[in-house]
Amino acid sequence: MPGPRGTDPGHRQLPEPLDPPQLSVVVIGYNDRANLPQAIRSVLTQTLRHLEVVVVDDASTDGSAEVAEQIAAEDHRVRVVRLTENSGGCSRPRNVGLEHARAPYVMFLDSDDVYDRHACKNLLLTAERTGADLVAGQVVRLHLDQQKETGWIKRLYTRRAVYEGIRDNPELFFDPLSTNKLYRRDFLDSNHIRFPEGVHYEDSLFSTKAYVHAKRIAMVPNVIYYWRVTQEAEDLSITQRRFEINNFRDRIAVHRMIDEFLHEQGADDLKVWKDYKFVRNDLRLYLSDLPHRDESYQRAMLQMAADYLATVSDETLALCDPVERVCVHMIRRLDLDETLRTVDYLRFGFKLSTRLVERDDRLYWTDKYLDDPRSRAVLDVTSMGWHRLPWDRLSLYNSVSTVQIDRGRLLLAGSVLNQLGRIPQDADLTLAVAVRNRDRMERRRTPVREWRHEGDRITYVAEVDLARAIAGLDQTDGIWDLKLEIGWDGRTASPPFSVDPGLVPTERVPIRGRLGGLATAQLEAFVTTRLSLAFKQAPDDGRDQVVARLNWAVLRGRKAVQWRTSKASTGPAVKAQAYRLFRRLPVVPGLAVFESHMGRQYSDSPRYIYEAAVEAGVDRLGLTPVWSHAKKRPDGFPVDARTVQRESWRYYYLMARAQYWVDNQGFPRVFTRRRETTYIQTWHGTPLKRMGFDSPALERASAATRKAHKALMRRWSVLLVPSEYFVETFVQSYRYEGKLLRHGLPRNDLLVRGVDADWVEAKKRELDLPTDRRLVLYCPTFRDRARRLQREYDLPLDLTEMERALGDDVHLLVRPHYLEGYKLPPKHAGFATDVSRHHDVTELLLIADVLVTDYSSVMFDFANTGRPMVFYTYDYEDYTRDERGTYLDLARVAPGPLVEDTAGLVAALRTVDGMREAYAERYAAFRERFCEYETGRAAEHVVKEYFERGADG
Amino acid sequence: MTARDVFLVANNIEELGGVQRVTDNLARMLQDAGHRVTVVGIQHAKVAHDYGARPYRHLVLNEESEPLAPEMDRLAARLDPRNRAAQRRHERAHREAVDRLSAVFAEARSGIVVVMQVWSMQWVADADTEHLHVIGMSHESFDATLASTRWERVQRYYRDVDLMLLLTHRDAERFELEGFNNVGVMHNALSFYPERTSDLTAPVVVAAGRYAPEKGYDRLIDAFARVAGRHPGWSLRIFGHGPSRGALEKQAARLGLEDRVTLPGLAGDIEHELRSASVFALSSIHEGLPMALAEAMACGLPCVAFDCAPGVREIVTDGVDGVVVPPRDVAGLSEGLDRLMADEDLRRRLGTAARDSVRRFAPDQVLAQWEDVFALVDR
Repeated sequence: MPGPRGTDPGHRQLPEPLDPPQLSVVVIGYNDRANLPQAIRSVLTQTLRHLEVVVVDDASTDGSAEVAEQIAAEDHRVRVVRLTENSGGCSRPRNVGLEHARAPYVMFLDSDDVYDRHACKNLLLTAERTGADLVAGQVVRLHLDQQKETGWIKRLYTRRAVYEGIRDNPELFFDPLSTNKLYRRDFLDSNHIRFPEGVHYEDSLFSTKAYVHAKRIAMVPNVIYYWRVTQEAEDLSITQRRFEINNFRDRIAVHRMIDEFLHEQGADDLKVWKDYKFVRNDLRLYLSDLPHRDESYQRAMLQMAADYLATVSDETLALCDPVERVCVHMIRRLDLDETLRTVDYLRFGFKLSTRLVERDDRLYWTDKYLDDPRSRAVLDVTSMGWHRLPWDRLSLYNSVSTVQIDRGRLLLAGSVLNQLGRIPQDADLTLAVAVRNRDRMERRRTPVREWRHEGDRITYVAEVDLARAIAGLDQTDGIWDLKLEIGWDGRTASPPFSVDPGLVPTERVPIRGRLGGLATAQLEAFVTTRLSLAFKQAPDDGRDQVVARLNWAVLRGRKAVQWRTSKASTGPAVKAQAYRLFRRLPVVPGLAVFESHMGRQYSDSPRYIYEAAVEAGVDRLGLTPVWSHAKKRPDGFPVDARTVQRESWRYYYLMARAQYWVDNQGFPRVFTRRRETTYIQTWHGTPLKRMGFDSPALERASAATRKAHKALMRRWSVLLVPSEYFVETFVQSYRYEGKLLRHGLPRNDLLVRGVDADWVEAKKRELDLPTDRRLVLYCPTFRDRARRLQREYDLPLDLTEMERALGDDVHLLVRPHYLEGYKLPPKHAGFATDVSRHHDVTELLLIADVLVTDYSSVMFDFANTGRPMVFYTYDYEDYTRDERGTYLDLARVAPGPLVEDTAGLVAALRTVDGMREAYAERYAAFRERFCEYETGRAAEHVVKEYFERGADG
Repeated sequence: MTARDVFLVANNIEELGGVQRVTDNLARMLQDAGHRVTVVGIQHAKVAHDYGARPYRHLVLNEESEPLAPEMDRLAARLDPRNRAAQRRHERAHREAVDRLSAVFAEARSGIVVVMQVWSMQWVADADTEHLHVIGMSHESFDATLASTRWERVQRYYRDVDLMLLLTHRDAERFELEGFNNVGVMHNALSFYPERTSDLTAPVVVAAGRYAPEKGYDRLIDAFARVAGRHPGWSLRIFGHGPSRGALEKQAARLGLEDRVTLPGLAGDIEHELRSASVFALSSIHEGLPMALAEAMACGLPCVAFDCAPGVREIVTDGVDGVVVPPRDVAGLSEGLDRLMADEDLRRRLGTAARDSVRRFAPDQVLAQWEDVFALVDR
């Protein structure tokens, strides 16, 4: 049976020779006999068949050339050229290959990489269609040891594009590779573009020349090749990086050659962008090596960097981030300690090992160099907003001075920087060392008994029975991280233990298997890529490994059996039976079960109805309200409320006997409503997207499914309705024929009536939000394609750009849909807050000054406030025209501008006050249509209609 | 032009469905042009339609349906010996079918396989095709694939074929952005490019397609009802066949329009019926590349269409050669009908542009596109 298509060229019929071939691919190799055949084969199995391969062997001694010649004998498209003397680099072999190439287009490939099967054709066709001098495509990095793929400057390759020269897209300097590109042969020849020989990092000079000379550059989103990366290449071990300083010297030498070239070409303006890449990429990379070196080495590198940075202009620095600028400044001052601290932040997980200082309402990186006005400007990091963060969100730098391991016990001594003096001397602190397996949530804590507050820092000595702590945790292969948990005033910070690699002990920690005594795993300490202390399983002899695996297999099996038996006795089927029995018992008058979003939240209209009932007096009403919560503990629910866990036995019992059911989504199907129960359905939003029977899922469903769906709707006794539009869309599409209450939504009552300033202030303080800036709430809707496309959720906003433009007077609240699983990068902590886990979005709407959304129904709720809205619809075409489609033409009715990128959003937010007038009419029309029935007293109305008057069967 | 061996593979080649008609059309076109065409159906259809005498070679791979693979998700199912026997039978039958397919392919020294439907790809992928170029075609939009069970199969099989053809540029772009590096566009061909066109004077709005919910004729009837009063002489004719016929007729009656809204069933001569009308309406909720729309435009008819899929905008451009309104927007649809019914000059302007615009779907043009594709895979 043949293997995957296109992997066995030997079997295929070769194309007749075409003279000349349409494309030449130059493959170079040196002593890489293991990988070379695969590289060549990836060219021979391309969908583009009329190409030639020129293999240039750099005088290998391992038989690579012979292997290549064997392939050439079987496929007439391959020729082999052997250099007689090893050149020591890539340049000469590529140049020689170029001399031998006969086609009008050429590409370059290294022996240890492989092409995507369609790469050559995609690049060639694009070149032919656009007339470009060079065409570039995407690269994927293959991490062989971790078995994963990562992108590489993906942002450059998101769409097809054609540029009339590099100035149209100078970010291309971030891509110095020559192997993901196709070049027009004439173009290279007439501009004398060749790889510089005798120089390392030749790619960047070659690429710069090509970029600068090219009159037209095309880019495609297609993957061109897979760049294989092995663990060795990423190892921080000292021996491997022995020649790092020479590498740095070489890299700078090439930069100087490039600068000369740019100057010759009258292209000094491009140096700004080339230097931007140097500071952002190259410099950072080499500086991260510094912590491992001795002082003389460090100083030599610093001097080298400073010499080159003297040629870097202010324009380049203006493009950089604040801390990058500080870094450059410290290098120029030859201040090694401060430089290392900026490296901690830039390379090692945004660690603030510097001592920040506040002065005259500004925040500075350090108190040094502040008398010089230029330095002051550079060291001013107020825009980072760190000084506005509560102490537990500041990245507290925890550095370890001693690490010892003794028979499974770990001894740590170190200190935590009391950044900005936030923790007072008399603070009632608790310190503990937490151990956690990286793949899991569970942690084991060991309190730290010895610690001392010394003003600017807190010192400690901690002793941990590591063997026991780890043995007590669920085990899976992997890594155990350590954190120092500092608790004070109801909050906790958990910085990792930053440690100098030289301090890490080599003793191992023996861990017993969970079944006691059968096997022992050995753990060893190591330093993560972020220079934090962690433990991993030591490479062992096979026997222990086997037994360890057996342990875990049995453990998993045991757990699986446990789970199965528990399901059998407490599964939903049994509970459903019980429900039917419970229903035979009489209804309890006044018993009301409240639920919001399937128990996940205390929010939305059910909450407000409940609170209105409480205000009216539950005793007077004879009401017994109970709140359903999905998790084990009712976190976020009022402490004095009765609660029940969803899907528990008690839940089934209460639902069976309740007189009222109040929710916003739909109680589980198993609950058929009894005659005596009133089901108040508040729903959770006005639809923009097609739903119900209009949605493709139900449209195509069988008649039986549709019938079942209708039965669920029929359970509702009454549906609360905010507008006639809601009736036209939601009610029609769900074919709901029951009672409607046209009185608005309880959750919007406060939005209609307004809240007083004190309430807003207090809420802002509760959420740790600044009270002196405009709050912009970004609330995008869920995109249901995202799930199947398996992309990691990334906020479609450039937070860095926004911060730069608006950081002084705006604070951003981001609330992606709770199903997206988003994480806000720590470096933006001063400008933005992630509020996706806040239960009640209404509270956020009440404190927000501006709402930014796309297609979320919050727009209809927020309209009740009359405050400005901006619509960030970066995917308008896709979203509104996809399978589900929308009921509304948003572009026509939106009460605010539609913008499609971060720049547009920034512009809109800057002119938000002027916007009010411009959109006044639209806004009024919007409110009239979508907030038609809002009275501000919807909750009260429900209480009066249903709870006061008793059962309304 | 080089004569080639071309194999078209579809799930079945007998029933009266969109893909089957496209396959038949394409086969005839390529055969006429001098290629040696073989059409393969993986299995028989339940109900066979008479496609007339087929001038190309055709065969069915599985005379009997292949035994299905049993459900083996749960451990108990996997241990059940009956399931394992069924699994073995399924695998053997599949292997034999694949071998038969390889034998058919081996009759050609070189050539091209075009897989018309996703399900069929399972056989082609397992057969010996090293000496052939393999092209995968999709006849639905990116979104329709994403929302269906075909998505996983497309992911598995379509990245490696020599070329993946989509019906519209937009869909090709969406796939490309999902990492498919081998996309291209291929239109279906009109089965006819008429010589004569409508004179655009008859007061008739026409539609043609299956009488089923996805064609949205209930909305069309509603839309027509809104403007029927203003245009007393006009009528609406909907040709086709299907289960909703009764419901649609009842709807027309409820609106008091049973004289003016008719559902005459299948058109004997669709070209004639189109020429006898002045406006064409497309009220569908889902479409791939709606050829009925292109056919109407080829007859010089101005159209009003719901923008329900990229395929609509691949064919028509609002304001240039037709009227495009937001999907399911009954008010918009009726407005569009109103404008066209009221203004003969507008009908003429759009209708002339429409006919020119769909020239690119004419058989000779599409054949040229195929020749380009054949040359492309040969490179």
